[in-house]
Amino acid sequence: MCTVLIHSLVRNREIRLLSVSIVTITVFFAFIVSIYTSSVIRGVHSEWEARNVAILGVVFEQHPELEETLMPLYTKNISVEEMQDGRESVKKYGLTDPISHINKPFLEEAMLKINIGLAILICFFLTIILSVSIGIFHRVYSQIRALSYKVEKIMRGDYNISNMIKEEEGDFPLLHFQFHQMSQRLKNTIDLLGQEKILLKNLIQDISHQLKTPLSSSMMFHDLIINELSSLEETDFLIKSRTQLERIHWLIQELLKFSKLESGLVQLEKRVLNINRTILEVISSLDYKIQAKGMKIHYESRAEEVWINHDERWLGEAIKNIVNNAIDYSPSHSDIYINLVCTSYYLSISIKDQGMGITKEELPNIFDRFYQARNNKARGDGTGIGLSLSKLIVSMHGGRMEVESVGLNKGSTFTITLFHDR
Amino acid sequence: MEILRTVNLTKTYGKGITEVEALKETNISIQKGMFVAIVGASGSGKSTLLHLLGGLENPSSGEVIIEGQSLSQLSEHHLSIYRRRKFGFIFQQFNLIPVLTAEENIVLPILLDNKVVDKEYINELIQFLGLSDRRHHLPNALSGGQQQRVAIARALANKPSIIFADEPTGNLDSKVSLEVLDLLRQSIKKFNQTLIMITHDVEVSKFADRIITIQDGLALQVGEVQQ
Repeated sequence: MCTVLIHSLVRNREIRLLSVSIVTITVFFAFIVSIYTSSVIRGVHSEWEARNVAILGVVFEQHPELEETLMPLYTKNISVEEMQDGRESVKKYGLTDPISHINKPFLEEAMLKINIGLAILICFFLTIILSVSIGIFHRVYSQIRALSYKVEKIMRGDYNISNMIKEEEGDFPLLHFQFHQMSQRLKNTIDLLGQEKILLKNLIQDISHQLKTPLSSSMMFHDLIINELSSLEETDFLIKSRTQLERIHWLIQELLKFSKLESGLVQLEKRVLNINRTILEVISSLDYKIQAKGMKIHYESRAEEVWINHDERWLGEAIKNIVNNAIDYSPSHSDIYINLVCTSYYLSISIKDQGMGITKEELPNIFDRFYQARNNKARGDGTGIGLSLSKLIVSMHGGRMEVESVGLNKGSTFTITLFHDR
Repeated sequence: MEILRTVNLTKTYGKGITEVEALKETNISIQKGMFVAIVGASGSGKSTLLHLLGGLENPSSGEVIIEGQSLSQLSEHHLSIYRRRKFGFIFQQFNLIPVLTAEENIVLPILLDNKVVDKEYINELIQFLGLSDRRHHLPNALSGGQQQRVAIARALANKPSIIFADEPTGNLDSKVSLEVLDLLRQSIKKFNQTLIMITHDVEVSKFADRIITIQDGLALQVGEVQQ
């Protein structure tokens, strides 16, 4: 725990700088102090030696016979007994403790020297430590100031802050980096919200446009009926008006389905079912429409029974929208081919028509809600909501939907790919 | 907004007779938030390009500029920190640490940076990649696909700005690889990341916003892709 803490602190440049400078300054200080004190002590020692030599000189001059006894005492180490003997003999002169009673001026002078010297050195040492610490704190605080400047910029709505700090270890560079990252994410979120706002605006525009056309024609028919027509004409206009109302009704229903699915109000009821049946049901439900155009649907499945987890009602709706679309945009008496391919990983349903096809420029947008409606060039009365609903349903099944088209009037192929559960 | 740019980028291996020009002068620009697929035959220089872009190798000449910062101007020390914070790497070899559990492997890049682990996000990642019941297993107790998913989670754990992937789904079956791609796509959308991926799989490259084709060390199709 402790080593982890130290490790994480040491990654900071400031901590490293501080520790290194404190250690260096302390070592330097100890060195200076030791040189200074040893020089003072050497001075004391030479003074003391000079005195001893003087004493010995006087003694030898008066008692030359003592030279042999005293000289070894001066050159070799003095034993404890000898020291005690000496102490006993000098006691009568009042010299009980050698140090306290030496009131020699040269020792006092040395002590004063050491005291003043140490005081000056400590002051010097503290000044260095203080200025180094201030320097390091300046680094820390200037980084905080830089950050607060960035905060200021972001509050003004300017997200283009550059990450000028070089990538380094330690908490401040990391904070700068993450701050930079955060501003980028914020900008991204705001951009996305802006896009969504535009989408919503377009959607409302599209919906109102889609509703406006049938509503105004219906109103026109009503006006005509009010203007007292013959009963035959009246029925005719009432029928026409009803068609327009049906259109509005259908559009609103599709929109409701879409929003229910998208908001998760409606949950898929997935069961493992034979998808062949789902597809055949779709085909038979469109039977009337196919026959009316004299068209034919060729359905080919590799196997009789293909079991996959799906919601037959919604997936049927998705397939129906595509087939319906294919019928609408195909000439009379043409063919539609539906093909089911199943492997152990996935199954794909492809729906191929011989209709007007889709241009390369239109392909990426074909699944956009209301795309077709926005670019309607006398293409029947589709609203462009069917395909996007299909895509939503397929993706809710965890599948993918794609469209291919060689070009105009060469037909198009829609492919739904569903994956087996793991 | 441009996030990555190369200026006359080249890479040559060997000298004299054995000299191989792995990458010829390449000038590409990649926009932020894009999914870029790099495709090409084996030995065409795809991995070399990816390694150069990700600062894993030094170019013979030219520069890689990421958000205005030239990678060659960074010292090896600064570059390694830069990579750790900004990039996520997914390789075909999983490069998992054998003595750490799946979860420990995933949070390793976060711990290397002394950051606090976003537990919620890590749990979400683990769950999405289907590793919930494997999180305390050692790599050798995991299947190849599971190991690759751990490697992917590890690359995403730090929420990097750019994800470099070298055939990340090469060892996964088609359903799982599409799911993994979906996760990567969701991740780049959510965190405004950029994904640069080498792939052989045509299905995978269909997901990309842009395809860069490499042939004999030459980046060919550099334009935007229509679906």
